[in-house]
Amino acid sequence: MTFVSPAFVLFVAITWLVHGVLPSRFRWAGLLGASLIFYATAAEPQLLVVLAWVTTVTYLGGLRISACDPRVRGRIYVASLVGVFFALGLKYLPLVHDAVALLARALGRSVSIPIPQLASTIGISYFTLQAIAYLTDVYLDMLPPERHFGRLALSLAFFPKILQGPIERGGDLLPQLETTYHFDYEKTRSGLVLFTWGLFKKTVAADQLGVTVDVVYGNVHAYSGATLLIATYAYAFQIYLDFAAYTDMARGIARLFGIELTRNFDRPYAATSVAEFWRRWHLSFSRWLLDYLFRPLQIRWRGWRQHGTAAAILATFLLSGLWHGATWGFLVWGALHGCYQVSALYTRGYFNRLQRRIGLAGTQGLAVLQVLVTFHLVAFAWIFFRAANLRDALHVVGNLPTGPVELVHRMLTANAHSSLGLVPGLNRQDAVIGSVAVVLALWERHLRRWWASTHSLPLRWMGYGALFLSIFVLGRFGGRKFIYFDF
Amino acid sequence: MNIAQRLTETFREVFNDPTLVVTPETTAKDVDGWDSFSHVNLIVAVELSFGIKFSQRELLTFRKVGDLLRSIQRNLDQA
Amino acid sequence: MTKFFAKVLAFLVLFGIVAPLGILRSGVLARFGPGSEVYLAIAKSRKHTAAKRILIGDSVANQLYPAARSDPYIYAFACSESVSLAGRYFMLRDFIARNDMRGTTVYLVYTPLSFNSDLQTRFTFHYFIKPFVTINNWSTLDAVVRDRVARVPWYWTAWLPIIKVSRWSPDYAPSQPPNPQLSEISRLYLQRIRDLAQENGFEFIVLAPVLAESRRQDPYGEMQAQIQSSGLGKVFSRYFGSMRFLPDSAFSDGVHLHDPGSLGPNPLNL
Repeated sequence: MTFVSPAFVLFVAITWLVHGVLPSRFRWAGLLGASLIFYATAAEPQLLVVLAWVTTVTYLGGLRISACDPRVRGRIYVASLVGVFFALGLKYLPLVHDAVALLARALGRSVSIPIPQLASTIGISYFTLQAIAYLTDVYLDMLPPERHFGRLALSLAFFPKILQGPIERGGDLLPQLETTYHFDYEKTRSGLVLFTWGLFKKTVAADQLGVTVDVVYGNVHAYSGATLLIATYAYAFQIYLDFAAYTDMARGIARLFGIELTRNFDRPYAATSVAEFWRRWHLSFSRWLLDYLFRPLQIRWRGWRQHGTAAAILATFLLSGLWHGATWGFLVWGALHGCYQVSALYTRGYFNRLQRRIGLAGTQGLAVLQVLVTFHLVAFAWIFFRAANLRDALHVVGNLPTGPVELVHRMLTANAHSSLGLVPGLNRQDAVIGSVAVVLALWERHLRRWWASTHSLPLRWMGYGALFLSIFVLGRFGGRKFIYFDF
Repeated sequence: MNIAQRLTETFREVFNDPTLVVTPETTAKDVDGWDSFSHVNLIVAVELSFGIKFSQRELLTFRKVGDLLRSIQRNLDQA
Repeated sequence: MTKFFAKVLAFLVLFGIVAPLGILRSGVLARFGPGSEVYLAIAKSRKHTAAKRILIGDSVANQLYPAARSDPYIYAFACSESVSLAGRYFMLRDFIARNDMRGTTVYLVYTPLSFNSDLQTRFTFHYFIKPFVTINNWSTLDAVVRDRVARVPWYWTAWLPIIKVSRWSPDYAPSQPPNPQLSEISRLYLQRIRDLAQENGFEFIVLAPVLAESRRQDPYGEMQAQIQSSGLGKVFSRYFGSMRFLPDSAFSDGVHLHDPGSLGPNPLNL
């Protein structure tokens, strides 16, 4: 079942009631049971075996690492990592299958290898990374190992976050699982509101954009530069709102149980540099990359000074691309982000001096320019992320330059009907609704501040009611899954 | 010059700020320009200045200047 | 905690039942919501007209003879094929109750593949269950219709006011057979309409709309055999002969026309 379904609403309601009724020492068991049921319905039942395997390796590994003396520790740590990587590698089985088949053909034999194919590996990418973080933190003595198997299992399998993260750190989540739950009106209310807000972002904003994006990127050769341009901008917002929506929904549900999950976003498109973008986008994943991939590499290669850092950046982002999927598109996307930051690294001093020389340093104008440039760099990279394959991506890139010219031309010879051809798949009402919803979603911070200062009950209920109704009346449904499920 | 003083000198050189003062409680957030890029420059400068080499493990666990000081002391004692 | 439950209940009643009922009554959704063309067709089927040529059919028929257009000679209320022949039968029955059918001809203009419709499409929830199936008439429906509807998961949510105003529909889309044929629902309700025609003294003729050239070679053998064995030979007597083909480029998706207006106000010469 997915978050956006009546089955899920019923599931959460029942789980919450059962959770409240259970004596506190069994609550972890209730949540764990519910999480396993959820995962079994959202993914293939075989994946439960993978989850059990990773949980067991992580639990035993954590205990042995902290119990053994320093010489053996390292070996146990590595062995545990291998065990976890084995699970992560299941995602790449098709790649292995293709590679082996290619090799066999090259050797002149046709071998049919019984490599099991998993139709979906949803969730694996997330809980394996969490397991790796836990094992590493225990190895570095930054975290005591969790002795309660059930709680460790729950920290990996907790249903609001198992499918798409956030990737939690042991230090953040495990202590929360130990505290006793007490019904808190304020937390429960705010959790429900957060969930509803996320649902709004997904169904009224992200999925409306998604209609056009899917139509255009599903057949890039049929559309002109202007349409490709609009679809690319639309995708930049769709992927952000889709994933932010999911995170809000996950955090909202978790809050019902008294658990705070990590925030994943901090207004990413307000970043003034690509490096800053990565401090605002998919935070739980970026921080994981920073702490468990980038820093170790950077430290290992510190002898090469800046070049070592540059190499660490490239390696990290290439692997990040690969984590999203084993295709050329994702690799190019990762490489682009790596190159953006490496060139920023080498030209940092130069640009600082230039900005000071022409008097732009510290000005509002410079900040605006930086935000626009950063947004466009990121939106450009998203093309490779979204396009069905590299050829489509290159087609889009090749046709983009004609876009702005065509748009200006259309605006000058405007009439109401010609504009809509640019946004295929959406009628005028939906285009307007979607745009308004996107703007509202981007103004989150202001909305939140204004809302916190509104105290009149009728007004608050009207607001919640409007949100609730707009999801049902204006929202787009139709089995659209969340984008980050596929990673 | 003791360790803390030599370390402060190194910080001042790396971040180009002759007035910088660091205490055991100082973290990256407290120093202007101390990000993951300049962090590595700082580490290399400290290693050169004290003639030591940190282990990978140690480096990953540094959270504040106090951790750095303790590690320098430990490395010097072992040498 | 009781305060919490009370508030949640009050909120759900207010915004899950009361507000949606208000929205429904205002008729806004009938014009903008999903399946709005169905509500237009239903509204038209409940009116009186002096026209002696009645047209029902699928969305292609609606393109050729828009229900939104008022024509003194041909009274049309066609809509999406997802409504199925069952829905068209209900609408026709409503129409007969308000109109004198003697001397009238009812044309059913249907693309061949629309006959496959067995109340098992993605749109069945919006186009059939919400408009035609209520708690009140559930027991009066044919067993076969109830069976098809019950196969749609969460079908009963169609009776909740908040769902009635919503664009949400259950995740359900089984595959349909690729070749044109008469589904169980189509067969049953074609027979019913044929019987209605006999009882009420009107003529019932099934015609084909304009089709894409590439559909000329579709296998119609199975459908023709079914027509004969169901006693529908007479109503289909003009069907296959009436097929008109246009080049594929005239169609936006192989079924619907780019520019139906270009064919004139009476493309089938009714």
